[in-house]
Amino acid sequence: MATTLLAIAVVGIAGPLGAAGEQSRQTEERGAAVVLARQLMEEIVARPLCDDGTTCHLGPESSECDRTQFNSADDYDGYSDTTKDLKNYSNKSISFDRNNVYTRNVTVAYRTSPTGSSVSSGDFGIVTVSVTTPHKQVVKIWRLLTKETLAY
Amino acid sequence: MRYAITTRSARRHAMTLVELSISLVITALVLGALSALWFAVAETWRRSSSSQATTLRASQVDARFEATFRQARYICQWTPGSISDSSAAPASCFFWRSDFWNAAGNVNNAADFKTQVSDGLVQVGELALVEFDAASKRVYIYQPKDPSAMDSGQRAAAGTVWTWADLSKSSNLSTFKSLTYVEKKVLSEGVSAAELNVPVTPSLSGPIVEFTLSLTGSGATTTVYSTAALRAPSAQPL
Repeated sequence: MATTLLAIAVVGIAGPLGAAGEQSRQTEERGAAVVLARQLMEEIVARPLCDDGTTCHLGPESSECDRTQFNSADDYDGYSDTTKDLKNYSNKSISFDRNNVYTRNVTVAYRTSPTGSSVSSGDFGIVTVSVTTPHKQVVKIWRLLTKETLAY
Repeated sequence: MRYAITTRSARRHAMTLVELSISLVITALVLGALSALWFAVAETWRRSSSSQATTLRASQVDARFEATFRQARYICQWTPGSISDSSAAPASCFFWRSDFWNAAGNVNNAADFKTQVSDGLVQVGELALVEFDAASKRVYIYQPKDPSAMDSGQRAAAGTVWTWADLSKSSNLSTFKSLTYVEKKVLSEGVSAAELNVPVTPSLSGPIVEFTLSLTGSGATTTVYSTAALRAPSAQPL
């Protein structure tokens, strides 16, 4: 009787402990996902919204094979990569844990006003970077860009 | 009366060896389970704390690096360093922070040295160096003290203009670090390896600084890869 009660108690306690461990792993993954999302967003906002600052074209042009050749933020529309084969801007591999793979996706949508609906071309662009963690949580960040650039 | 006492005594008996063994086994099982539970709780607690600390540190390092490089005007010289090769020269980045040096400014008025003075000249007081130190596992930032903390001689020296010839000379990094008015501060701790990259970006794109760091702590290593885009870049100084 005592042994049975003990077994039930152990199983009952092991459940919450396992859940606590899982929760801490997921928190860690969300933190890593935010850093990865911000990395890509910084890279994107360093570029003008559209080609030559004027021509709206979502997605890369035919001559642009990888992200180092993207010359505008809208080239990143549809872009996707994973930490399994992630490379920096100079094509050097970044060694992440291959058992915990994060996937990044980018969408760019043109707007005629910051709060307007998506259009094929406009003065504003909403960039969305989504990162999917190994536990399939999705972390998204957004940024509003404009065609106008400031010179200092 | 005597009879009753005798009867009760006769009913009480000591534990048999079998009973004693069973109770010992049950006690051992209970103690074993309690120890296992205690260990599991402690392990979960440790892992959870370590995980939170690593996550927080990674976010903090990322935010600090981004904030440092975003405000930069120009990256004068940099050394990539390496994540995998510990014999490589340590990662470093020497940059023009901002065009704010005000020779005629009042040191008691902080605003005099925080607003833009667009003379296009790079005074030593406007420079900074970020450097990884493998021995201490830290990334340091060297930058001139606040003008109000300098004496008049140091302020005059901090107003010295460095041209591109000075800014691009590698030997000037140690000169800069040894200046009496340059402070060394910790930008990040627990960094076992650091790598920087300042790539050539397409035309019309702003410059970026990529950084990859290996953070160690509580027996785990975390890779942080991030980028800072210079928000108000300038052309190469004269």
